[in-house]
Amino acid sequence: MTRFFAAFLTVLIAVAPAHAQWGGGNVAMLNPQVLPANASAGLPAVDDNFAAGGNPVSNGICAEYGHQVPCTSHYSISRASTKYCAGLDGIWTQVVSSIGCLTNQGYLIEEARTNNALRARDMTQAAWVAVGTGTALNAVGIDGTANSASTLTATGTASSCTASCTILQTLTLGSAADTYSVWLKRVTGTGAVNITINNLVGTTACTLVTTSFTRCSVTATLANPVIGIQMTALNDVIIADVNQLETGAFPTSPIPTTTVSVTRAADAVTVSGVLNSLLATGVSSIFSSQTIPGLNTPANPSFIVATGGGGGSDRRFYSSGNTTVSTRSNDATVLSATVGGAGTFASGLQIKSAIAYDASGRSIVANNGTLTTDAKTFGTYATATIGAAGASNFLNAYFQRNAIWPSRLSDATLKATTQ
Amino acid sequence: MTRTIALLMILLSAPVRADQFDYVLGFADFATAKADAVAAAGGFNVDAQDWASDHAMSVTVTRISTGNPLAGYFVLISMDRRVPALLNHTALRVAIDRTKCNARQAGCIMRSTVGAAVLQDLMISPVFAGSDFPWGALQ
Repeated sequence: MTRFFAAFLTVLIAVAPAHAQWGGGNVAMLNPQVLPANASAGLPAVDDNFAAGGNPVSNGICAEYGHQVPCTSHYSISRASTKYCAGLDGIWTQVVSSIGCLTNQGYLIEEARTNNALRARDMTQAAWVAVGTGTALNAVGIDGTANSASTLTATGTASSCTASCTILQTLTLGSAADTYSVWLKRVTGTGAVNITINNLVGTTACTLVTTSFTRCSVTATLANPVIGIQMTALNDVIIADVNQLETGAFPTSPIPTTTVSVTRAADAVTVSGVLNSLLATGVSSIFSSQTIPGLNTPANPSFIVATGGGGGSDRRFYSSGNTTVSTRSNDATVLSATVGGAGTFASGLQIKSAIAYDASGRSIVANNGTLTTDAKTFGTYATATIGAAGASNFLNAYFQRNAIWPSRLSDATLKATTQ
Repeated sequence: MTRTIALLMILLSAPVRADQFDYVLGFADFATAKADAVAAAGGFNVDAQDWASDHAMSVTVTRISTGNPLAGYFVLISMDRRVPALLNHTALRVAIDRTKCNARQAGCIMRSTVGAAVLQDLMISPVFAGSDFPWGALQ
């Protein structure tokens, strides 16, 4: 019995520090390795399932050579800010700085963004100008916290507001492609609810439901945006949470603000350990899967990237458009494959993609589409990352799975992994 | 034995707290900042145009009393540890212990090269998420 406890404690102590650097949840002792669906090859040498750790924030389930290891054995993260990520239940959870944000949707890896909208959650504050709109900070927000979101009531009077009850905020910013977004939920009423980024010169209609928050967004290139919400039916009541004005073509995870603009730092995720060793060889097969939130349209999101060293332009695995995955060889030759079925990197659907390579060449395929192949190879590299290529091409999505075999799978097997 | 195990389990499952230290450096202009040896050596530079966006960014420092931004170029570098090269940098304007500032604890300001009156009249924008600084009462 004593020996059992000693062994238990040894394992607990060995694992705990890694947990402390990854996330706050507990790792369930699940089967650490499960083959990607329909794969007929042997078990992968590394099989990291970021979405398998549970919800809300978790540690993921990572494994190498048949045994579970802390995900910190394969990845380290740098991020100087807190951030939020959502579970499949739609509830957003915050993690502290330099902790990976993992839920049962996967590992949310994003670029840096700044929310320039002040008092993002509290629309009772003077930063917001309400006309014919009542405000109260008394609603449950997108993080499930009581009294964190604003209730808006169309209270218009005959003289001021009968068909356009508004609450707006004016921002002083240079001209750029900005996206305004806000989570909305209907409480009562049926009138149209719109948002604006240009002081009601144009409005975007939002479809609200009473059972959950819907994120509504609008993108425009302009200076000094005036953002906010318009209700059109007297006595309608809605809830609004995390108004966000960020420079970029699509919205990212919520960034609450109070008196000043707030920046969510980028997630810089570096590969290490056995995973890095496997990537460093010239022979591997890699399966990965991601889901990009429906509102996002990231530019060429990266999956696994190895740069520097002898392969200055070596980019192993990334998307080169909404419907293609690509891989770039040591001489910068790009090989692409079209995502099978109706898969697109902007649809919110899961994309399963895989590459395999050895000294004779490489193959690439996604969602069981048409596999492509050529005779190009990869060189050595200095640093490998996931979800970004240096300071650009961020995934801006949930990375779910990363499995690597230390051999080049046959084309048929490789394709089968992506079904 | 059981109590020891229980105690260890409680200690090991304690909530994670990540300390973070924010260093605001001021330079004559952007080019001077990018050419700075400490910035170049510390991994804060990505390239000639960008800071490493996981822990560095351009910021505006404003006097609360006037609403006017200070002249010059300012960069906020945030690290999970105290970095002497940044703390003692000649360009350092203010170094903030984020955890202590958020908690309104003594030691919030690790070092400042501006006077106390100016320090308590400063606002920095943007700040990294997770910061809750007492603008107007920094000390």
